[in-house]
Amino acid sequence: METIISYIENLFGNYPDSPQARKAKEELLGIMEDKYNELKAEGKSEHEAIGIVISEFGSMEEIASELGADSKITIDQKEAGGSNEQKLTLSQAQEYLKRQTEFGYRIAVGVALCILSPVAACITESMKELGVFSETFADAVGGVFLLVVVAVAVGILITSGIANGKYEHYEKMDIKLDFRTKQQLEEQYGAFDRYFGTKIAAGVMLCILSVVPPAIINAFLGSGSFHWLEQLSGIGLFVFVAAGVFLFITEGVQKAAYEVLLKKGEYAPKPTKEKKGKKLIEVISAIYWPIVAAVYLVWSFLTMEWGFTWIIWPVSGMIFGAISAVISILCRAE
Amino acid sequence: MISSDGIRGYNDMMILCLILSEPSYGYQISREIKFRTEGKYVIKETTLYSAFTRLEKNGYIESFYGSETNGKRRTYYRITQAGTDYYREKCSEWELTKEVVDRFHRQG
Repeated sequence: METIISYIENLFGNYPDSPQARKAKEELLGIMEDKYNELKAEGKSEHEAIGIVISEFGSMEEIASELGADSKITIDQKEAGGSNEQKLTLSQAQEYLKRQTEFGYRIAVGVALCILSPVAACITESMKELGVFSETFADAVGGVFLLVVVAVAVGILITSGIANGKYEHYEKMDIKLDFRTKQQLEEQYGAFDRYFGTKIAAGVMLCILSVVPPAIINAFLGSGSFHWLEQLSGIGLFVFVAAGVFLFITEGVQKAAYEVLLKKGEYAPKPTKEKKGKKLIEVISAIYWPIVAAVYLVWSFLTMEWGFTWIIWPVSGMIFGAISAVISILCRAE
Repeated sequence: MISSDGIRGYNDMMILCLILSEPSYGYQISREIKFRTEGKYVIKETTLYSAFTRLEKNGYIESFYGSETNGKRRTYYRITQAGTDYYREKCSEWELTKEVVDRFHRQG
């Protein structure tokens, strides 16, 4: 039956996706499915059944006038829309999801390693407090370990980013799925989305809980002679944060992959006005942020008030947010 | 097998005939045509679909959704009064056509 569906999808691919075309496709596929099922029930092989059904389909010209447009309009529309359209089969879509999930795990591992990189320093500092390690040895081992872990993490981030580059264009494409594929993916997405919120909440909780180990140590032991334990409690903080961030990234990347395929959320088709607004915001952002950075550096170096000049970041962030909001409202109101 | 050109004008009549007594759906009609003609005429799916839309546009048939079976919703077609009249018209037209064509037909 898959062969028949893709045969029909291909034939209809040359016509605009009008309500009439969808109705025709549904009705024709319904008849063909009935015929296919009966042929199979009569004991025909898969190949024979498909052959008969397709040979008895007829020709698209016969129903072209019923599809809401003649083929010439179709070609014009396609040219106007550019070659941005991409048809994906179920296996291609699944492959994309699989690759994106793997990509998410790699990025999450890289970021988690960065967060965990000071863990060795926590241990060596603690040993230093206990008098097991000398100060120079502790600093050296902790520092070297930190740099090595960060280097490995950056390596992972860069290689997985490059490897994933060939899928980036999916985000900008107008992805077309045949309706079985779409159904299947919607189902999978539903199953995924059911636990998405819970997992993100768990991540947030982990981040909040991360301050618990140091807080407990501080509360119960005071800051007396237990510096070494305080240092060790830092490990708890990093592990909790790393676990939380790991969840955010793996879940977030998977969700984005579904959204790209099913054109939901961020990747939902936007009216051209909104697109124009988004473009304008992108252009402004490309000019705005380098200026902010320049102002920050010049101001800080001239006054040497580094403790105060950071205020430029939250303030410019808020101003930028206001600018983007005004632009999108204006674009929608136009 | 029959050429679809020759029979074109009578697809409507066949479809209307098959839903005269009770509504039916796409594949049932197609199968019935094949069965009654002992496989000498197999109507193409696109021919059937374009006939349905044309007949519905002219008010000769009405479509409605049947109850769902195995998660599948079938479109059923029922004949209208105008459709019944049109069917009778086509029948007498066929009588005439047959008579005319027969005069130019030599056995063997």
